[in-house]
Amino acid sequence: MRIGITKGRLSKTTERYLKEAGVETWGAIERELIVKRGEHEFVFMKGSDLIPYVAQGVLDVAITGSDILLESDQELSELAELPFGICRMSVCAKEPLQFEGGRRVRIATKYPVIAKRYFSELGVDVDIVPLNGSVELAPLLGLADAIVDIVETGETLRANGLNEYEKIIDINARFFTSEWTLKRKRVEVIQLLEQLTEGVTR
Amino acid sequence: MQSFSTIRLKDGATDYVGPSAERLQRVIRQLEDGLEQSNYTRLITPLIEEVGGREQIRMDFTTSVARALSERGREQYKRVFYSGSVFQPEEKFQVGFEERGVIAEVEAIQLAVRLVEELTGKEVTLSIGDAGLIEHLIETRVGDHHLRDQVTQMLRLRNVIELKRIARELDDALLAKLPLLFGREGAEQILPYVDETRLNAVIDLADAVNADLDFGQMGLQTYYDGVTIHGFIEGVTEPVLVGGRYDRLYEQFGQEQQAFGIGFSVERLAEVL
Repeated sequence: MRIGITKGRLSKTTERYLKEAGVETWGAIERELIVKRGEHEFVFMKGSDLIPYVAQGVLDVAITGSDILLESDQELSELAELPFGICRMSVCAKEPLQFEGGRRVRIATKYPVIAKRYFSELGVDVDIVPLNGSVELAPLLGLADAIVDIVETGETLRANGLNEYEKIIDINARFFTSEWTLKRKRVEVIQLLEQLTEGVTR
Repeated sequence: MQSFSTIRLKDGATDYVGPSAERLQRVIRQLEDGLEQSNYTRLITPLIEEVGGREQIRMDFTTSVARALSERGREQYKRVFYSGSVFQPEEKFQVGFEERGVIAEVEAIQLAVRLVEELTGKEVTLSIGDAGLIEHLIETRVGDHHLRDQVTQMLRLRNVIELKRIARELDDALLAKLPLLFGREGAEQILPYVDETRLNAVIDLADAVNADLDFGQMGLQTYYDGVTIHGFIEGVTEPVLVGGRYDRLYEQFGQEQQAFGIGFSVERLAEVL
């Protein structure tokens, strides 16, 4: 199986979890992006890039955060929630948001789809400012009134004088595939799914 | 003269010119010829149709065909084929055939497989499900209709996580298994809860056309209410042929009869020529 792994912090917890599930993992690697171990090939990339690779069947399965899947509009088959990468998506700002008086609130985020959906369900109009990194800067420098972002411990927020006001959704790691891969390689996919969900005792 | 230079190619749209256009045309021509030779009548429907009083560009052929065949005086047309574009929302070329009345499913599926195999030289692998059988099963187990729609929707997406959550809520483990029920083992798991005759009919059909059974396969459109068919060839991720039974679609047009059809994805087939 060709398995997509999210580069960065999540790759370490993913590796630890795979090991506990009895999957031979990559171990110490330096700059390799593709690593073959046992019956699997691990491919490392940014979480959002995993989506088209899995949708096109180039990667058989992948593991990434549920935030990435929520943000994408691709229909992918989510097979299992995994007990790591646990955090939350929240609205954070220096002070509580004021929607009165028809003033449009500006929201900076790396997750425009999730943010837009959340505020439209609340029935408030906001302007979304899409950013790619360090969104905490936006309210500090006055680009936006608030941010929608991942919160794990809240330390970065506090260090920058921001508060977490509303939790939008809980986030965790997900094991997913595409409908068509599931058909072509169902035995292998289901076997790995069972290994990941039943093989780990905690 | 008015200015025409503002005409632009729409985002996501493509021109085909020279060899790539020839390729598409070859797929279209060969499928059309094959269907004509198998006694299907050509049906051309307008690209723009009225839906609920509003003009809309064609999104799907099967619904247009059902509308056209249900017009008065067209009872004699039982087997038709179509060829043209649908917009979902990007443009896709489709050729396909539809039949109503007494359906010979095995022959129709075999014809679709033969046409693809002759065209591409590649073997087709088939996967068969039964959307109606599974919908009935869900109906008997999920009383609340909102929740039932959610189960069906999550099954379409094969979202095991959400189905597990609903299964826990309703204390019904079978619901969580639905997206991963394949083959004979899959059939055995649902046997106690479905119409045995109907289940056997699906199994027999799968055997007759050498298809894999996939009970989570609900079809790409919500009108499917019976057998669903997906056909794959090596080198193409998505199915090159898609079809099934949709009696209830014709029912909406006042036609009480069996209806069945299979469509071919022209672009995907052209990829492997």
